Amino acid sequence: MISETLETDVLVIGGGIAGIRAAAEAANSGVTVMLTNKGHVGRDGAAVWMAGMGYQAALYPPDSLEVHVEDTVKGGKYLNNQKLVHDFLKLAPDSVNDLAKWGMRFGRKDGKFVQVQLPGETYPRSMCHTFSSQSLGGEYRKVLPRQVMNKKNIRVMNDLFIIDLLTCDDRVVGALGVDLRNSLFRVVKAKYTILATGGYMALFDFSTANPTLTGDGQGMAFRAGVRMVGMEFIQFFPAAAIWPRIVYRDHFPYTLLWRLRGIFYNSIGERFMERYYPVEKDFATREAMSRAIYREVKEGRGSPHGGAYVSFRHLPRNLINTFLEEMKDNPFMKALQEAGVDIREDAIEIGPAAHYVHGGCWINERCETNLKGLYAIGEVGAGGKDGADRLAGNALPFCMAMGYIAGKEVAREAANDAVPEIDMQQAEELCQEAQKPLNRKNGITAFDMKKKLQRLMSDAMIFDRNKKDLEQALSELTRMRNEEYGNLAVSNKSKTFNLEWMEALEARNMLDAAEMSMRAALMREESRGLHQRSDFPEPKSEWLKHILITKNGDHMDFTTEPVSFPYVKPNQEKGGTTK
Amino acid sequence: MNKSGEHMTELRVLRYDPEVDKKPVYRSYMVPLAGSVLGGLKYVLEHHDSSLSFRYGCWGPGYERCGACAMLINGTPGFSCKVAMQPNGTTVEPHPKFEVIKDLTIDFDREQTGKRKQTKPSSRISIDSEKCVGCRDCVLLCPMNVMQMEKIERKGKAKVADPGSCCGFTCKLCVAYCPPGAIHMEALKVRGQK
Ligand SMILES: Cc1cc2nc3c(=O)[nH]c(=O)nc-3n(C[C@H](O)[C@H](O)[C@H](O)COP(=O)(O)OP(=O)(O)OC[C@H]3O[C@@H](n4cnc5c(N)ncnc54)[C@H](O)[C@@H]3O)c2cc1C
Ligand code: SF4
Ligand code: SF4
Ligand code: FES
Repeated sequence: MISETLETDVLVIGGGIAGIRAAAEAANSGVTVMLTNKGHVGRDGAAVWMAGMGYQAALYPPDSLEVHVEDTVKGGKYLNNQKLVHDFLKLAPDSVNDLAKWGMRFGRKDGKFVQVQLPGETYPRSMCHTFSSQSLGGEYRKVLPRQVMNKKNIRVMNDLFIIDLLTCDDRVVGALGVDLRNSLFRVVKAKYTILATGGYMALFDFSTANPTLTGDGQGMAFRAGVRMVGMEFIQFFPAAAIWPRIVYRDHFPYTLLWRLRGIFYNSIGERFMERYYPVEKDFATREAMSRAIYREVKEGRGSPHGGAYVSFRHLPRNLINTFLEEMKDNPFMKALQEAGVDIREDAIEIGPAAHYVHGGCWINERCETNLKGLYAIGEVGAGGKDGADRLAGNALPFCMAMGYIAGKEVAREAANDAVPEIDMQQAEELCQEAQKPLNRKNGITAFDMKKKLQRLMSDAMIFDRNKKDLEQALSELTRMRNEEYGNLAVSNKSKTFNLEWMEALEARNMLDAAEMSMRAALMREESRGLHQRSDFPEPKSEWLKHILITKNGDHMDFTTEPVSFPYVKPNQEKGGTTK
Repeated sequence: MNKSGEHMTELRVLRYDPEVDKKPVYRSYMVPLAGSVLGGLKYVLEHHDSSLSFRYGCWGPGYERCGACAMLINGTPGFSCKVAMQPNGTTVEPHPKFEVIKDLTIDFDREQTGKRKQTKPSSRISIDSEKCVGCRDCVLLCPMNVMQMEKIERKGKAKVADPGSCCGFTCKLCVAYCPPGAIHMEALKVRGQK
């Protein structure tokens, strides 16, 4: 079934910021690199094209690496893997210089980079664009793809969707992919493989991230035997647009709420924020805001599309007109206008949206996983670095640093090693498994399966997690795995760009990721950062440990790894556990 | 209206499957009026015909646009995640700049050679070459390869080489990121569109 076997020194799976950085770095050291990507590198679902509100780097005193680490660990509620935090953030200033060298237009003043202060930063530490009003997102897409395109020793394989890792004697020896353009299976033999596939935000229908981020890396790593960590922590963006539909998932409403104080209403017209937060009322913190909206929806008082109403009608007409005039080029405000929504009169609907995940491979400071030959970086290279909550603007410096470290590391190793042998039988078996849905005449569709999974995740995994809901969701998930997964059928048999088949392959990864995150959430009997249990509302010092997951036959094995504190000691009075 | 009370509208799609079709054909589907053209296509995929093929990436939340979903929408190039379904019907065709893989999925690695379908851009993009500092940013940033560099009096300047491919107001990346603000975009009236 395998149509082609390719060979390379280094295989990088995923062309986001982390993958591109790693591929470029490895190639600079002279080895051959293959970068495969679901979609077209630079025109795909990499999260970095949308990022840009923050890039933290401690550049100038009084700020320092120590303070940056401390802020990160405090933000992470002391659950961070401090060694990784320290070693990766140490490279943040160098990465800024590299990005600037590549052509990023960072704002500068008096010979220094301009930095602003985002929540959780002791000193202003977030980089800005030259145009203070512009986000950095566009700059990343300008400079990053260029690092890998038209380079002699980098082969970019667009539309090569990797479905599984290939192993031989506990060593990863490459990967198996489907070329979406012709549905042919390709084996890539590699001395070293770097996993950089991002997160699993698509487990939630409502997400600010790309629907293409379906936890493929988490799924394939887990199936290959990689130790996974942090799967229970999922970050939600407090206020994304739900309605009008044309702005669905847009995160501008959060900025809008910063600029204009809106008032929240539920479906019975009650200003419900006052009930939850008598003091802050409609201007509570982001987490508080999203939790209140979530409760209203859960208790049946949500807006028609599953959020809360936000209204600006109370504001004086000239005030709001001035604002509208200022925002006349803003794409969000324009889209509202085109949809016939006038914020002077109408409310919009908003709600919390999945934004970032902490779940991925357990790695060491060289980004190595427990499987020899496999490195993991970026969002899928979790390693417990983000702890229980992530500071805005820390993801990108982590991605850059990890890409650099892994790229250098594998290039050095690959120069000496021989290309490993592939177990062709294993590869054939994996092909057959992937083909099964195509061979079935009828059964459950991938679309339905994904929707069900998203429903389960939304019901049990957003806020107010508790044993009852989690167990219920898990038993349904187990049923789906046992009864439905075996009936997954793809009715479209086309061999060219078969989206339905792609979604079926994604659904398998989503099942694995969902199960890992639900089980970890059930196991962690405390509330900390992003993980809030209504039945265990307090943080507990005995839970200052990572939950690690490994595959054992058809089961998941759970172990824990205590957190160590080489740089920042937890605040003992509060049990080191400020919620 | 459909069963769940949504207002429906017609989406015509230029379909082409190289495995079976001799030439492209239009097919019509009823999809919800609310939402984007890309949302309509996803609806077709899930409810009418799972053999439909198209590309998506960021699905357009926030400011950034990946460009994966570029196509012709009622003859005008645009990012389909950013364009609302039109009440009196919407027709989509592949973006003519690149070779078609299947239906609306184009191959960004291969530009069309030979005669191309004419488009009806909804905007005109222009560069003030006095202001242009020749940094190439717009060339690198443009998802549709609209811009090219040329030499004017021995200085490198950007020029709009392929205005017919520009995704206009759904994109505006180059306008937003040109350092000296040398790129301008103005709306054009297009027949058959509001
Ligand atoms: C809206 C938004 C705003 C954000 N803003 C910020 C910010 O301001 N500051 C900050 O620090 N962080 C921010 N983040 C987080 C940050 O952008 C991401 O964590 C980071 O970009 C992840 O990079 P990555 O390289 O790990 O993965 P990604 O960028 O997600 O890239 C993964 C790549 O892998 C590919 N891929 C996936 N599966 C497969 C497969 N099976 N086979 C082949 N290829 C595959 C995908 O197509 C994709 O190109 C934001 C995130 C979002 C969603
Ligand atoms: S981005 Fe602006 S200044 Fe730079 S080349 Fe393009 S038009 Fe000229
Ligand atoms: S707006 Fe600019 S960047 Fe976007 S397609 Fe048109 S020319 Fe390219
Ligand atoms: S999907 Fe990225 S611009 Fe439409």
